[in-house]
Amino acid sequence: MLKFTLKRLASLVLVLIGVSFLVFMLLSLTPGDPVRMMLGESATPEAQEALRKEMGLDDPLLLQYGRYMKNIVVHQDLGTSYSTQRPVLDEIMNVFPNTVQLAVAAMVIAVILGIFLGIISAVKQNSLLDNIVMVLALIGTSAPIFWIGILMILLFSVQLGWLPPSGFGSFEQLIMPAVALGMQSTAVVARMTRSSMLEVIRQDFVKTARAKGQREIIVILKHVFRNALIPIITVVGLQFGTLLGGAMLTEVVFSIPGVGRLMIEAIKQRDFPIVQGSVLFVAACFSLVNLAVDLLYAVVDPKVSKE
Amino acid sequence: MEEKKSRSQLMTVLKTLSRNKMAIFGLIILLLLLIMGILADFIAPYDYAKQDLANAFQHPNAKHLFGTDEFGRDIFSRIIYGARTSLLVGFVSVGIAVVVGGALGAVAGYYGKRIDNFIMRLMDVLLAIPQTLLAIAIVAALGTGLTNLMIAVGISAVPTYARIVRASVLTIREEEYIEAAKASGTTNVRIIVRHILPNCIAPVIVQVTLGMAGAILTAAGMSFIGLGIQPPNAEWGNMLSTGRDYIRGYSYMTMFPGLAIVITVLSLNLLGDGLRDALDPKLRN
Amino acid sequence: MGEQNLLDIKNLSVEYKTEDGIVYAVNELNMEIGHKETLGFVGETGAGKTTTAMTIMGLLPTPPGKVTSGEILFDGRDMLKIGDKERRGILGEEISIIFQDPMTSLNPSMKVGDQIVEMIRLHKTISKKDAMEEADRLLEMVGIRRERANDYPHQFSGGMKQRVVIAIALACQPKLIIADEPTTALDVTIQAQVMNLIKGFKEKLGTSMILITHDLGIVAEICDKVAIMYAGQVVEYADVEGIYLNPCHPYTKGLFNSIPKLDTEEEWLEEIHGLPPEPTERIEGCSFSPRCPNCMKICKHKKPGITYIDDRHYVRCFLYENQEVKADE
Repeated sequence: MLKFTLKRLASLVLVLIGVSFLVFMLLSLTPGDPVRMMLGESATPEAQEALRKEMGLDDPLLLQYGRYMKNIVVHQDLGTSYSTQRPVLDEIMNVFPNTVQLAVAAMVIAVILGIFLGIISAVKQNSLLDNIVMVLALIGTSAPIFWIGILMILLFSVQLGWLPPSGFGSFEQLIMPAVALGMQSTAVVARMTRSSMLEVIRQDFVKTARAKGQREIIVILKHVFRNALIPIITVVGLQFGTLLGGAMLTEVVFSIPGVGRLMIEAIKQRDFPIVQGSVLFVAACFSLVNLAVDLLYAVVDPKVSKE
Repeated sequence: MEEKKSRSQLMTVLKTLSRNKMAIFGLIILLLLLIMGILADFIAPYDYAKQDLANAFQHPNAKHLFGTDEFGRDIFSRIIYGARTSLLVGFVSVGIAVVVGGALGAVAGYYGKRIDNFIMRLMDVLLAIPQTLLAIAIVAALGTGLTNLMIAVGISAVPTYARIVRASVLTIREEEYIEAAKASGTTNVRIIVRHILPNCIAPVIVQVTLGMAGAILTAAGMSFIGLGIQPPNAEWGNMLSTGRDYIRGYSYMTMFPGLAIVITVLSLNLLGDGLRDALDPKLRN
Repeated sequence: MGEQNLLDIKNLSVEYKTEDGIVYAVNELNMEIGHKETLGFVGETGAGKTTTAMTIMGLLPTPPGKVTSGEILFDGRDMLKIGDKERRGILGEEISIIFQDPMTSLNPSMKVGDQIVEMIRLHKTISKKDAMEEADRLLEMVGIRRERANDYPHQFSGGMKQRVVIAIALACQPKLIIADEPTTALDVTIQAQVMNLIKGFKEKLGTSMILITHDLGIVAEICDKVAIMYAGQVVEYADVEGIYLNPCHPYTKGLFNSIPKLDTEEEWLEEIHGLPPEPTERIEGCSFSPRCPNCMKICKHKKPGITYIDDRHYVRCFLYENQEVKADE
């Protein structure tokens, strides 16, 4: 188990190095001169030249990348924002907790509600309730987060005045964004739970459990659900990536200061260190979650843990 | 002989699909949207970009079925042209993803060893970045606009197809008829194109349908945050973005583009689910 | 039939609704099992044996399954009428089942010991520790080391898994065990071992058993009675001696003819021509008539009733009904 974890950690580091390289190269190829952006159009060519030299922008790309990586590893330094002149890491850490809070809240909703609806649907397969849940789930996977968000603002803020339309910090401010963001994942989790449950529910060992005289609800939870978990965990893990991406849109809809908004602003201002840092940071989080999911398999599936 | 067999398989698939009312419903809606997009010039009552400030912010009425926006542009016409944009983005970006991803997957699966390792590690790198974020990063580098948006969304979906095709190739590679083709001196490229790729078509078709739904959603999202297609071009995502600013009092501006996205994506999802059930009997419940 | 039977099935009919139409899985089935008796339940795949077993236990999935007539008296209680709670009290405690495929009949994510403990604790109020002790004892009884209680099913071979399944079935010393082709899925070399194990326990614990099988050899070895099933019906029912010495129904005769005999040299085994009817097809007249070498006119349009050869041997066939009529004259 420890060996497995270390191996996965090692490949995670490699992947992240790959991500950093990819993003660095991608953004370096972009037209546009950061120096001119930082100093403004009126700066003298000499001043521009001096700054360019100071930032090492004339060095070969690989050298620049090496310096970038060295700063990350040695100084935990992701560079400096062109527009605010503050360390990128500080800028990210400033808003990152908001994004995490949003994504986690949405995830909690998706997992609890999605699994609950999926189980009910599977147990009552082909019933009216099942059909309703599945139609809703289908619509849920098809509706864009930002539109759901806007509709919610329209109903709960503009019409009813129950919840604040924007901002972040209080519980009331978290409800709408979390629900809007979590809706799609709820639908995906519900659909996966249902199909996974249906696959298990027909197996012989479920009959064995019933033949023991076990109560149906225990049969469903202890025998069926437990064995249906692996595909559900996979889908939940993948949803985390979708949620991180979706959080960016949600942040825009509800004016939440998070990594997404930070990034989008940075892109518009061509503040590439921020963009680079944010992508790398989010990719790292996502990879860590995936690692956690892999470890969770081992807990759930005895076949994995014994190997 | 083999052709006959594959034709009868196709018939079974089509028969199963035609029995699935939801999938057929999705297909019909999709065809309607497609016709709407293609014939937009003839169907749309107004020019999608023509401003008419005297008639701005008109609620839906007989002259403007879905009302007008802040510049007096006819929303109904913009929705119709938006179908063209969204379907185009869907087709092209998924096309990019299928061609690039499929080629990478086929090469990785067919040649194996180092090439496989290199390509799949590269895919791992792309997969480590959430898809929307990857598309955003690519647009950040390339700049906004229709072409760049399609490239960005397309590239962000490449790993999905690479994985699907590679998995299929790995199972097919060992089949005897591939051995036979190799033994008779057929070139590798020819084997891949003639024998291997046709056999991965089922999972790819399903993924293409569902992937188009995803691509349209992502593209709309990108336009919504201002990194996709910019006004005055008609795109549902940027229409929503504008509508959001006028949500108090002019909620129709957000209703119609949102509904258009949901209907399009839903019909693709319905069709994709139906195709998956028809093509993969194991998954049928 | 003066003494009360342990299990008495009367006129049981079960059908399934499917997309292709209604499947008549069990049609007016009659049979009985006394205390400590073993009934061999013989027939081809799809004859309705497993459906009957699941119906007895009340585990028939409904829908698509549906019991359309009959009663199943177990120890005087009609299993079709009792409530869910009462039935759960009977399942495991008084009736238990051994499924065909041990590879799939154990929960893959639960230690085998816990699966036995679950059964014990459902029906006995004892502490978890005592139940685990009891589970270890049961495992040893079926020939598995007690330490292995902490292992998961995938760590056992097929034969070993079936032993675990047997241990679960025996845990509460039920009055009736239904063994649904318990050795079919096992290697030939293991089959005899497992069969002997089952036979041994049955004798030791005095349990009644329904043994579902295709194998007439096994039936001869351990059964007291035999029910021959064809297309959802028991076409012949008798003591083992009755069946082997005096097989009456043409289908039963066909079954015996298709077994290789050691004492005569035959070039070919005789087969029963044709195939069993499609499950959705409802045959007018006797369901065996299309394949029957002795088919008569009446067989084509009338269903044969039950004819008693003697008081422990009945057959559903017009060949014998006519004889009876003649005897009456």
